[in-house]
This record gives sequence, C-alpha cells and structure tokens, in this order.
Amino acid sequence: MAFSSLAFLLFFSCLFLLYWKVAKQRQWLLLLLASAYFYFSAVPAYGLLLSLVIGISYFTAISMEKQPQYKRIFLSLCLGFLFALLFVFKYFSFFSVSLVEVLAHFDLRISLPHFKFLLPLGLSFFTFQTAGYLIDVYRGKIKAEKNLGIYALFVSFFPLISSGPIERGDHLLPQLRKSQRFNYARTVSGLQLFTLGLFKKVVIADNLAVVVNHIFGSLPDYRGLSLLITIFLFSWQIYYDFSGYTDAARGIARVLGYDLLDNFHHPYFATSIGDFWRRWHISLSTWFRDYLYIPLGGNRKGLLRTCGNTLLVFVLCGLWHGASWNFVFWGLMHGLLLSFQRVFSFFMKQVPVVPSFFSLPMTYLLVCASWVFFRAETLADALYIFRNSLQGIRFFGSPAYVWATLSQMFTTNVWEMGIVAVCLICALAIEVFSWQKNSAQRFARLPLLLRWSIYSTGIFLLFFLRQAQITTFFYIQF
Amino acid sequence: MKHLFFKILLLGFLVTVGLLGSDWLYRSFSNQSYRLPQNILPSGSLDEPYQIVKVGNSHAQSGITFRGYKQKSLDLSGVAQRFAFDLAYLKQHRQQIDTNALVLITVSPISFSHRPADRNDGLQGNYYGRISPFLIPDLKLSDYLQTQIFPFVRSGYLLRQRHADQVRDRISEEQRAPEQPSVSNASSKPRKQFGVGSEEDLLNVEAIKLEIAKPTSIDLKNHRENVNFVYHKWYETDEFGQQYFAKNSHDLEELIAYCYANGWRPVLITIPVTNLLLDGLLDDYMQTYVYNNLENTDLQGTKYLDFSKNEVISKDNYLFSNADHLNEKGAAIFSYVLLQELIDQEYLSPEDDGYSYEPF
Repeated sequence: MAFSSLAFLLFFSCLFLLYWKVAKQRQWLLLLLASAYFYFSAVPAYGLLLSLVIGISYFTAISMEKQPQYKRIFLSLCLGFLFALLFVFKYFSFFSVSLVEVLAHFDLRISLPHFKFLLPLGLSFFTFQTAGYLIDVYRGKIKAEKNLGIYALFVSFFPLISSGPIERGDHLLPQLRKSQRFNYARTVSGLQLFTLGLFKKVVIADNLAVVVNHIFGSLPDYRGLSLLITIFLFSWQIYYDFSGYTDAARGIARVLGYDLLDNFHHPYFATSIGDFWRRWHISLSTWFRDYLYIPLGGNRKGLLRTCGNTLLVFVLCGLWHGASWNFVFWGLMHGLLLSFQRVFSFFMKQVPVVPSFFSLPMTYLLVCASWVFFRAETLADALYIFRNSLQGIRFFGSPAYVWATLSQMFTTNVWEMGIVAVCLICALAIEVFSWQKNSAQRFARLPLLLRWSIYSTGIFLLFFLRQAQITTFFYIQF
Repeated sequence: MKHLFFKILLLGFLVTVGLLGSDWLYRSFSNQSYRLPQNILPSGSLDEPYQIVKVGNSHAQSGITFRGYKQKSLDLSGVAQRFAFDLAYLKQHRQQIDTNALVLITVSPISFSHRPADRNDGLQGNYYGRISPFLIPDLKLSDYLQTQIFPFVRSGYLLRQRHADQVRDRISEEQRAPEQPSVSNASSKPRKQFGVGSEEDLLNVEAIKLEIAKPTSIDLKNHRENVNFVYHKWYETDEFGQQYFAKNSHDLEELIAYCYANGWRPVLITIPVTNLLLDGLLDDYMQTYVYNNLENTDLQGTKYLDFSKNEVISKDNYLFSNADHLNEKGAAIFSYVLLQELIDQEYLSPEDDGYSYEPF
C-alpha cells in the first residue's frame, strides 16, 4: 500500500478518526492492528516471517536480561538467525551465482541452487532495527521491552516498516508506551510534512524518473552531455524519492503523536564525503557507526585499521542496499573516498581549509559519480557511462549542441522539458528554503493568502503532474 | 478537530476547482465531452438476443469473423484476455444472449499459461466501461474511480499524453519515407489473389477453396522475428509459466459451468498458427501447454475442435499477420472452415451459412 495511493489515504483517514476515539491505553493496540493490516496486505505469507522475527527477538531480549551470564550466546544466536534470514531471502542467489562464475574461471564446475524469493517488505530495515535493539539490550543501554504488543509495534510500526528510518529502542519505545493526546499544531505540522513528502515523491522524483528510466533503458543510444544530465537528474530523483518517503513517514507518525528520527539533512550541501554521510540516510549510517564501525575499533587503532574498517563498513553498506556488484562498488567507492580523506588528513600536518564554494560542488560531483553504480543495471552499463559521458566535451558550451541533446533526451517534447525544469526549480526552492534556520516557523509567518496558495498549488500539482500509475518508493526494494 | 476538518475540506474544494478547470481545458482541446460512466450494471435484455458468441484472447479476436454467419453474433474477445474475463464478459451480457446460444471459447497455449489477472494487471483498464465494476475480477477500485467516475483528477496526465502523442505523430510523419511499391516474390505465376479484390472476395467460397488448394506461400521476415519474440516471451520471462496451469484450468471449468447453467452450448476451439511458429518452439509445446491441460480440466462433456495444425491454413503464411495471428483474409477462411465443422457437428444448420457461392 503506497503512501500516495487512494487505498492508503482511506486507511489512514479511518485510522486517524479511530485513533483519537479509542481509550488512550488502547492506542498502541489499534496501531498494532493497523500495522499488521498494512503489512499483511502486501504479501500475507511474509507477515508470518515478521511475526517470527518479532517473537524470537522479543524472547531473546527478555532472556538476556533474565540470564545475563548467557547473554552473549543469546545475542549471537539471535543475530545469527536474523542475518541468516536476510542472507537467504536477499543474498543467497547472488552469492551462489557469483561463486559458480568465479569457480568457472578456474575450470571448476559446480552446481548450486539459485532460487529467488520475493523480498519481504522492509526486510533489511526491520532486521537492522531489531538487531540494533538487541545489541542495546545486551549493552544495558536500554531495558528489554516486557510488553510483547508494544515491542511488536516497535518493529512493525507501519510508517517505517517499508523504508525506515531505522529506529532506535531508546528513541521510539518510550514514545510507544505513552498515550497520546490530540494536538492541533502537531497534527497540522504532521500533515504538512506528509504532503511535502508526497510532493517530493509524486511531483519531483517521479517526473525526473521518467527521463532517467527512459535513458537508462536505452543507454547505447546516448553519449556525452545527455549521460551527464541523466546522472544529475537521477541524483535529485533518488534524493527526493527517499527523503519524500521519510518526510511522509515522519508526517504520518507525527499526526499520531510520535517523532521519528530524521534521515536527511541537506546531503547535497555536504562539503566532504564524510559530511555527506552525516547528512544522507542518517539512521543507517549511524547504525553502521554504532554497531559495526566503533566495535571494530573505529579510528582508534591506527591509520591502516581505520581505513580497513571504513572500507569494510562501506562495502557492507553497499551490500545492504542490494545483492549486486554495483552496490558493492558504490559502497567501495564511498569507502575509498573517505579513506583517502583520512590518509590525506593524517599526512598533512595542518589540513588546509578548502573554501566551500570549491568543496561543495566537488563533493556533489563525487557523489553523482557514485550514483552511476547505484542506478546502472549492470557493471557494464556503469562503465559505459563512465567511458562515454565526456564524449564531445568541447561542444558542451554550444547552445546548438545542448539543444540537440535535450531534444534527443525528451524526443523534442518541450512540455516534458518544461515540467522537468519546473521540478528542478521546485526541488532547489524546497532545499534552499528548508536549509534556513527555523524554516517551519518562517513558513507559518507567511501571509495567510500566500500560504494557502502554496498549499493548494502544491496539492493541485500532486494530481496534475502525477504519473498514470502509482510508483513505489525506490528504497522499498531494499 | 472540527477546525482541522474544515480547513481540509476547504483545501479539497480549492484543488477540485483547479482540477475541474484543467479538465475543462483538456476537453476543450480535444473536443471531448464528459461521458457518464458506461455499464455500471450488467447489460439489459434485447428484443433479438445474440445467437453466437465468441470469447478468448487475441487469437479469437483476429481469427474468427462472423461476417459469413447468418446469426446474430457477439464478439467478447480481447487482447491477452484470460478465462476469468471471458466469464465476466458473459455475465455482463447474460441477459442479451439467447438460450441455446453457441459460445465459442478459444483455448491456446497462452490461455493456460498466462499469469492470472490481478489488481496490478495493466490490462484491467481495457475492461472499464465495458464490464460492470461489480463483475471485474480483482477490481483496482482507485484506478476505476479516477478513469470512469472522477476523470478530472487525471486531466494533467491526459493533457501530457495528448501532447506526447502529437509530438510522436509529428516525428513519425517527418521520418516517414515515401512509400515504395511492394514487390512480391511469392509466386512467379501471376494469379488473382484471394481477398485482394473487393470485400466480397473474402466471403467467396470458390476463392477460399482456390487459396486453400494453392496456398500463397511466402516467407515473411517479420514472421520469423515474431517467432523469436514469442520464444523469448514464452521461455525467458515469467509472464507465462506452468505454475499458472491449475488456476487457469479452474477458471475454464467455471466458464464452462456458467455456460451450461444458462442453457448455452459451449465449444472449445484452438485457432491455427503458422507452422513456422510450431517449428520454432519446443516439440511438446502444444502437448504440454494445451492438450495436457484439457485432459486435466473437467470439460463437462464440451467438445473440443483443434485447428492448430490445420494442414491448409498453417502453412499459408499469406493468411497470417504474424507467426501466431491470422489476418483478415485468414480469419475469413478459417471462419468458413469452422462454419463447415460446426454444421457437420450439428451446432449450426446449413441455413446459417452466409458465404457466397457465386463464381470467382
């Protein structure tokens, strides 16, 4: 059930009305039922898988508290179970095919089964959220949740089950235990955030996706500037698709009285790759930092170990996104860039201050280059883009060449060109406005007529510029 | 909370006004007026009900023509139509179909191996306005509402689509090369070709018999390409597969049972395809995809007429628009062959034969 579908709007409207009518002590129960309905309506069989994960991790956390002498064993077993599940559903086929291909190079022919399951909705997200909770209980950072219902809601809370943010036990569980009271200002702000999220996804990301998908679908027909423009468009598509989902999820949760973690903080305003990862998919990057990078020794064990840890974490981060070599290379590229940054800082006695007018676009370009691996279907496609995107560079300044390129990309459809341009302007406007301090308050202080014009135009564009079919969020596949 | 609802309603009103305006713009540009939704309920009865009905996928759509049948006929076939939609169509027109009517149900390999229709099936939209929403299997309600009941919510998409079509047409017009006269290498001996003259030639039995006796065998490149296309679709995608056999067989059983329940006479038919296609696919293609399925389906005594390897039609590429679909000429000939078979089997009487027996 996509957030932008009529089915979801009906579902959420009913839930909203019921939620404020039921007894405060039973709000969590209603949310749990709603979350179960939301999840089971996708593929019912995978609802059972989610229930199994909830049941096993719940009893593991309780057992770790009751028998602290065995907590290490309990944790290892449960994490082993969780990651084995992730491996079977998401990576088994990839590894078996890769292994067969590698061995074939050495004339070793083996036959391994490579079955392909339909990936359970949000598997990577709820696996990491559950693993994080268990490690927190193991470390004594939080107490194990005694109420199975509340815990089940923590894992399956419908706004975040399909694409995060990956919540922490100490952040969400206390909120779920509390009963909520209707608050007009919070509800309005939640609805605004939800609408903004839909606008980012339906108007901006989906319209950019039309061009991007068209060109990635027929790569050999394109060279030079058209490839560069496509990568630029994809960088905004992926960002607004994912941040649109996060905003919508946070908006829904806020309407119901809960605050979810923020996942984005203007990532394209980053001035280094390290800075980018403090702004992009924050809940995932902090998960890797807290539960993998720091336990591995972080940056406390010398330069070589730091770089090794960084590379390992980023390769795994790439793999988290999908079972494909493209994602491995995407992660590796970020890991190498970050390691290079560390080595550079290590050898320079005094790190020169790079002005942001230089470091910001440089970081953006590097991030865009890495998106090529992320979006391309195969490694060969990614290499094709790297080989051909600078072809004809000496003409890039020629208006006639630029116009010919755009005409080819948009099959001379000037309307579509205009729509993409409007989408990019909206994206930049949203980005710049929300970058300012207290942007929400500033928005609230705008004249009433202007605010209402923005609301109604935004919602009008949601209908007017949407695609014929509802498209799912990009990160839902992970 | 009332205050909030009031604001939401006001906002909804403003947006609806804007959308109605853009819808008006679209309809003015394309000279279309708003049409009330069609066929919300099953169709009402007729004074003269239909006596012969065909259901099935594109094979039936292109392969059977009732032009030479002296019976009131109804065509309920469609591209990639599943048995479940055949049934829905029959339910839609139940009151318009005569008791004792003949219902031709086409079965082809696709019929059994096609992924059953679901809510996400892109073809569901083909049935909006034709079949009552209460009869469409697994209706995607939101899609139905916005295309049939509140079309103004998609005026933006329609405007863009209209413009994109105009651009595409303009480009193809610019790129279209001047037409070259076609050279036929089909036969060295010139003869009057079947269906090339007047429209009536298509229904002329002597012309049909001439074509059958001396097929205009030509080897068309697009037929060979089509074989490759079908092969790829068949064996290398999950659009078709043996995993769907059971569900489709069950749907066929329901369809047949519904026909008998209404007093109709169902007949199962497989329409000819080219030898080129049959040779290009695996040897057991028809056996696996059709005959085994028919054996595993409770046909409730329904007769099966198999024309898939019709000696005279299958080798005559001239009668096919591609490797597995008859063209207009092929449809006229096959329908004649079918008519004779139906008369022989006493489903129809000789008086129902409307083909011309004049000299050609």
